[in-house]
Amino acid sequence: MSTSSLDSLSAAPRTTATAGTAGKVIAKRAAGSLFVLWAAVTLTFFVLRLTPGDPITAILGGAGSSPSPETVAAVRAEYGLDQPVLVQYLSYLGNLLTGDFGVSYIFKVPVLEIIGPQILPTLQLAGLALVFAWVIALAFTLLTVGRGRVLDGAGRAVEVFFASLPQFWVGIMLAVVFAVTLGWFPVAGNDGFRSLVLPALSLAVPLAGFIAQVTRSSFEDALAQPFVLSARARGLSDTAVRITHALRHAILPGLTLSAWAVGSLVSSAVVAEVIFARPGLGRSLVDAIVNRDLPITLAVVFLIAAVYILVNLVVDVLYRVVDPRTNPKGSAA
Amino acid sequence: MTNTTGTNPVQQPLLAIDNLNVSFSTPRGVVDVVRDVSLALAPGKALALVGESGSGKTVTARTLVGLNASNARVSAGRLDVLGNDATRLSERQWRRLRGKDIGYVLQDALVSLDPLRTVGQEIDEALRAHGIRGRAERQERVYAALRDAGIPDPEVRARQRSGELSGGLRQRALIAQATVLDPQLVIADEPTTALDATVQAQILELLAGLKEQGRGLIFISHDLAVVSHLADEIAVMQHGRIVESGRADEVLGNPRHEYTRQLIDAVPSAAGKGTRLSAVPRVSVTSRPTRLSAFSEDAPALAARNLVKTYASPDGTRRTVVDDVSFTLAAGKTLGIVGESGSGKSTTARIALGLTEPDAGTVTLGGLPWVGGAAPAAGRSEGERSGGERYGAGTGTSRAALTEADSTEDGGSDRGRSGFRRRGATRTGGPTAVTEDLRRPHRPDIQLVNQDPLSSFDPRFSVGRVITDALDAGSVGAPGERRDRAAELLGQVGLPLDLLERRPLTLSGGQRQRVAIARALALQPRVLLLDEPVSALDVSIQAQVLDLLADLQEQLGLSYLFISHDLGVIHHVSDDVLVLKDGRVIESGSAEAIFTAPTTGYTRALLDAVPDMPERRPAVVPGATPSAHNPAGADR
Amino acid sequence: MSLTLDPTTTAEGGSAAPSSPAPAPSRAGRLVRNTPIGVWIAAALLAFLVLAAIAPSVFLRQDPFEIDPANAFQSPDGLHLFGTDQNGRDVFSRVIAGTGQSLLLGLAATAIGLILGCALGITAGVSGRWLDSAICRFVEILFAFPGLLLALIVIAVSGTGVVTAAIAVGVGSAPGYARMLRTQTLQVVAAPYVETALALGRSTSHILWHTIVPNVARPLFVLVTLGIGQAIVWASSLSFLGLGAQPPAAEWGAMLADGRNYLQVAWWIAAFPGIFITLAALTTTVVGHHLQRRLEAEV
Repeated sequence: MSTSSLDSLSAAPRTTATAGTAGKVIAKRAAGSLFVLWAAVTLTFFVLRLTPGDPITAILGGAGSSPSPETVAAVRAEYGLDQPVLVQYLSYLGNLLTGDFGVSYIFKVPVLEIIGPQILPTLQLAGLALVFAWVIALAFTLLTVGRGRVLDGAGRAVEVFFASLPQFWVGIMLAVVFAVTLGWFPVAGNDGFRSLVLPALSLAVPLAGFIAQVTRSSFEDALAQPFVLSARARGLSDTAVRITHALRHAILPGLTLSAWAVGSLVSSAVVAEVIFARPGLGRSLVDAIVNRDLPITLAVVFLIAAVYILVNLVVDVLYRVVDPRTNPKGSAA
Repeated sequence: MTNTTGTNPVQQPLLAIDNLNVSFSTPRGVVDVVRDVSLALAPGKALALVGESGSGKTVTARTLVGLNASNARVSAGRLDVLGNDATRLSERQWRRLRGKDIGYVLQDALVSLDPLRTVGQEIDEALRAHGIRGRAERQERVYAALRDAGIPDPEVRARQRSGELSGGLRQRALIAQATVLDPQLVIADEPTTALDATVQAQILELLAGLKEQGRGLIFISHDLAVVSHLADEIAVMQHGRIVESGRADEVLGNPRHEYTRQLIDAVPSAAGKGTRLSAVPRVSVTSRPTRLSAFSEDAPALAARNLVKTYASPDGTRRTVVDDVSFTLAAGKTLGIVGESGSGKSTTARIALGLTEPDAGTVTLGGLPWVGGAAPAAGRSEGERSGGERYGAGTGTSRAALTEADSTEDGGSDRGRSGFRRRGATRTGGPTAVTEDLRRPHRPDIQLVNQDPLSSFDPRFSVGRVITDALDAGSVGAPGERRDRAAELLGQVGLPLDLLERRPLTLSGGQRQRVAIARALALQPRVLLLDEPVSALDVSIQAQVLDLLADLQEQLGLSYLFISHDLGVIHHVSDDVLVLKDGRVIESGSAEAIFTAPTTGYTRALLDAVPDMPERRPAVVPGATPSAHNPAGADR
Repeated sequence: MSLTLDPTTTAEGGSAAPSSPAPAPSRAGRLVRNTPIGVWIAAALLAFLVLAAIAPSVFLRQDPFEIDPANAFQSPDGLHLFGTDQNGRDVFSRVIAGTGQSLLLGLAATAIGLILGCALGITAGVSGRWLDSAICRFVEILFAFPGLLLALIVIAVSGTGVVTAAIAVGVGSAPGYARMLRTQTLQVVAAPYVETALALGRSTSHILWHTIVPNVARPLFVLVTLGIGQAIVWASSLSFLGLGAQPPAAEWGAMLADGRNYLQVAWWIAAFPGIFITLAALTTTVVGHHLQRRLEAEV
């Protein structure tokens, strides 16, 4: 969640297959993913469950209410809170396996009923934001890298500027200009593609800055490589070299970054959701945290972690498509 | 085949260049890189541009394909390339020439071919760029080009990436992509640098074949010996100018320019053994503080017995990197270890230095137990190895195939994890093994100088601090005197005192290597382990460093374990020689015996593969022989 | 390419004691010449922000908290540089008054993130493979809480507030720092100069504290500079969501959240705090990148 962490992500190589068949590798990766998912849920469960404060207060309507001890005991039994924490945890895990996320403390209905309808809008928002971010970043890279000092410097400056923008401020300014003043897009709501554009853009602009920074430096590196000179010496034009050779090298770190970005977008979606009054997972999460609604918090954490892990797997596959060097042993030959 | 540019009536010169100047405008001002260069080349001939780094030879070559950096300014009295006035060619016209009429081959195919694309795609790209449409035809021509470049199974190789090929095949593929369109002119920029000698010989043969087919060849190299095999004409460049040019045998056999003579003398070879290679005055060691040491002058300086080291391969099998290696380094002598990449010479060096624990075998240093002595502890090195693998990936190097060229040296990935962790392995090394704690007091007796001195300096340190830190490590002298001692050591290695405050990064390669030697001398060692100490240096600087090492050995009575892939260097410096291949000692004995009468086929093949320039020098050496200013004939 | 424009390499022709190249200009002279104009502007703006944080009274002309309903929603003019908000408070004064808290939040969050990151990353980098892989696994799990998520969980545990927000952002950035510092540590540990120290006879602990740790710590200053900008953005995001500083406070994120309700009548209430957040993030990033480039040129 800082520039630096993004840098480290882009620098961190994805594990390369050194032994075994592709099937083995995939199986190993899948097992690793399930482990991370389980660990994430477990960690969240215990961290939230063991914090001071009785969930009963949340269930029974906040600190102000003064329920009778009988009510408290009944509710406690109803939600299984009279059991030891470990038993609660195991039964939570067991229910999770059957797709049961429990019952919301606040709304008193199954969690899935609350957040189920929120999943798709958030995924749409995050997905579109990622697409926007890539389009903006690639446009910048292809148009400005190595095109003379002025363009290069301008591209660099705009990227740093974009990366420094707070999403919520971008959202507000976009709303003022394009929704309130110009009226091109709706100010709020969830009503088709048009209502998705501004929220997605507000998340995409800072992300585009990050992706473009990473892509730019790897694009520059690629352009300085001898194979680019070889390609030019074969008679390729500058543009052809950029597209067929340099671009492929340049998008690799950006791809790695994207895996993290999608997960990040799903949680930061809350900002756009608040500004543009959209339903979504992010808002549910923030509301649940404020109201100490443990089941909903856990469910959203689970979903975001799952999205993150899933996207990571997809990016891994994509990475292998773009960079087929699965085993660098050729260099040692 | 007709096109508007590039057709060249037979027998007209391919190149006619008069007074070529190339300069670069940089933030620091305009830098002239090529000055007044005139060249000519006829079909079927090879012209070699010879020079050290910064001599402008590469820029000259790039000018001939119009591929200099955008800040380059080119002017010339005449710049005829294949009958075109190259100063007036548009980018579009250049593109038609490149690949089709001019083939350009760079060094190190691992980075000169796109590592993400197959060799076939790379070659095919040249065909497509020049408008050859038919898929089947292109495929046929790709295979033919690979076959012509001497690559067996072109159908298989075309589907592989450069990283999957061996160094030799890779370089052949690079030549194939440059020659697939049958260009009249081929420019090869250091095409054999970084290749093993045997592979280099094959590539040179392939290039000679191109020449015989009637193509013109421009060949750039820093290596006179390599050049002598191939070139009809030689142009020697220094500081952007051609200082001497003419027929190859004339230039090499009867050099007229001082610089050419220097270059020729600088090449270590059989003929020059025992002589000085450079015209640099010899250093003299004025003071020699003595240090108490258990090092026995009567015992062999360094003796290794039956060293074995295996590593676990990624597929689970064990790879033997060092296999039953024994050697003895006599006190005050030089033992040369020679081998191609992957021969285990670097791992042997690391074992000898006590940085890598062997699976079996012992090393004694001046008679004292130094390394090993225990039965191999199973599984130990495996853990170490797999750790190294993992960290290699973690540091972000595994993706950077662009830099993988560096890791081709034997035990490359072993170096990924440093000796820092390896101390653990030492401690678990078995009941009787010498531990690092026991070794530490004797560490001053054996010091290391490696190929890349810069990486061996703490990046925070100035030159002075590098040396005083070493003095501090060995508790040499009182803290207050260390500064003076550091200055004295700089003098010993022939460096001016004002370098003390400089950062190593701002020094030249030769200066850095001298600092590394000064640091090694700081602890008054008895043995220096020199691991490819001159491999990264230009030949004239290499000559100076080799001379310096000879002086120091003579005056300080040092023993050298000298590791190199360069047979010429090994022959020049060694009293005894060890030839390694696949971790095994193929041959050992006195340098004379091995170089004059090798007993194994492998050593003979190695020696044959070395382009041996002086043998080809005509006997007519004028009275003022290049070695006349080297009065040091017999002092070794 | 073997082209060398650096005179140091070409100067070494045949002389044994190559003369040093052109005398190095003074440190200050080099600094001025090697620093692009953009970096100077960023540094000047950053200096302004720091001054506003340390001594807001230098810039304050009105009381940032004084409510004056008669003057509500004044558009920017000479008296109210950034206009006034719904309560008639001077937006410029409030923005200036908020600088201290925002910068402090960013600094504290970065410090927390870096301390956690160092502890995890350096330990992983220098220790044996079991502890290392355990830490790596742990960090990998933390990475499954991307973006704001980890920070939100911290808030879920310890409630809303400024201190919590700093801790939340710090914890949220720790996995990134940990991974980066581990990589950095591994690189230093694997560097030949560490091995050289061993060959010189240095003890393991001496190498750890005198060679490895100082070299890992070298880029930390750069990391702090680069991290603060993003930490400010994230911390203000939390305030914007009502999870950090609460509205009466003059914190940029909270002010923005406040101003959001009056966008159609008074855009300036939300716009100027946002500009300052961007400015803080932008200037620290630009200066940080520059420091990073200089450091890389030195290694």
